Amino acid sequence: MKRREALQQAALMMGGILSAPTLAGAMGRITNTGPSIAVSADQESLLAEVADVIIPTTSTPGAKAAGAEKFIVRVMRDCYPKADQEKFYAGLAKLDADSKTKFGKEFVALDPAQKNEMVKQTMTEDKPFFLRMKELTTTGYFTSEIGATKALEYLPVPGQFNGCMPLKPGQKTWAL
Amino acid sequence: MNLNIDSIKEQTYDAIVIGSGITGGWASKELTEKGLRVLMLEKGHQLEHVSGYVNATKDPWQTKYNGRLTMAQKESHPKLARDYPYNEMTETYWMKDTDSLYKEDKRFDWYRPNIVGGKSIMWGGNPIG
Repeated sequence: MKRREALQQAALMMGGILSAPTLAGAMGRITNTGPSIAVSADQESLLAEVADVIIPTTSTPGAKAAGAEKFIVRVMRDCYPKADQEKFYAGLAKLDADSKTKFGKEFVALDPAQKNEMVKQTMTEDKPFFLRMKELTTTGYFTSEIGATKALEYLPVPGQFNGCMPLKPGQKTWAL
Repeated sequence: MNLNIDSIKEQTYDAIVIGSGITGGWASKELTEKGLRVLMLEKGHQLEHVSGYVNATKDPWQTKYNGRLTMAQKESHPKLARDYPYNEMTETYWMKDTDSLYKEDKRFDWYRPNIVGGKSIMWGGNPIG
């Protein structure tokens, strides 16, 4: 008799139904349940600084001004399994440690050029962390109120389809 | 229990239809048009046109996860979570898979809504919101 059937019959006999993750766990596959990692205020500030290197303030406010780090923390906490969260925050810690090794200061204390260099270094040294950080930063930024309304052209209800429209000078990309 | 004749008549149906979606709704329509007394049962809630689309007019920054599913949602909706129709914006339209988990030998995506009218209201694969 297949294991799954045996488990389900056992559960039914006990008067309950096993949830899919529990079943998966019993079948030997990794489960995703468990508490999320708690993130400190320092980690949040560090995320804000790294995000601000990826999307700095230019003629429009940058990722830190838009509060992109809040989006990153929230999504990592609720939408990713604990193992992914651990990897992500380990990558963040490594960036900080590498800053101390290279420049003798932690990341948040570096000057803009040094910060840029550290993030660039991460692109090759810890690519998975960098890619995830970049993805969450850009999504968090361009869906924030500042990002969507200032950096992009925001039209809440795009409405009709205009097949041919002249571009005005300095036309921004549409937010939606 | 003693029921009088009128009571028995009121509780007797020629057909009972489970579900008010495309199939159930249409079956009830056809049967009632043919003169049958039909009871149509729907466990889902009413989705009011326009006012019920609570997420449709939200700005992107008013969502928590920009449409992503949480780990908790993936656990309570393990089948629905595999595809795009179930997401942060459409949470209230769908039935919890764990309320009535089905067995699969091969992958089978059974999208079960939890609203009156079922997928006939939601447009199936592209729910409003």
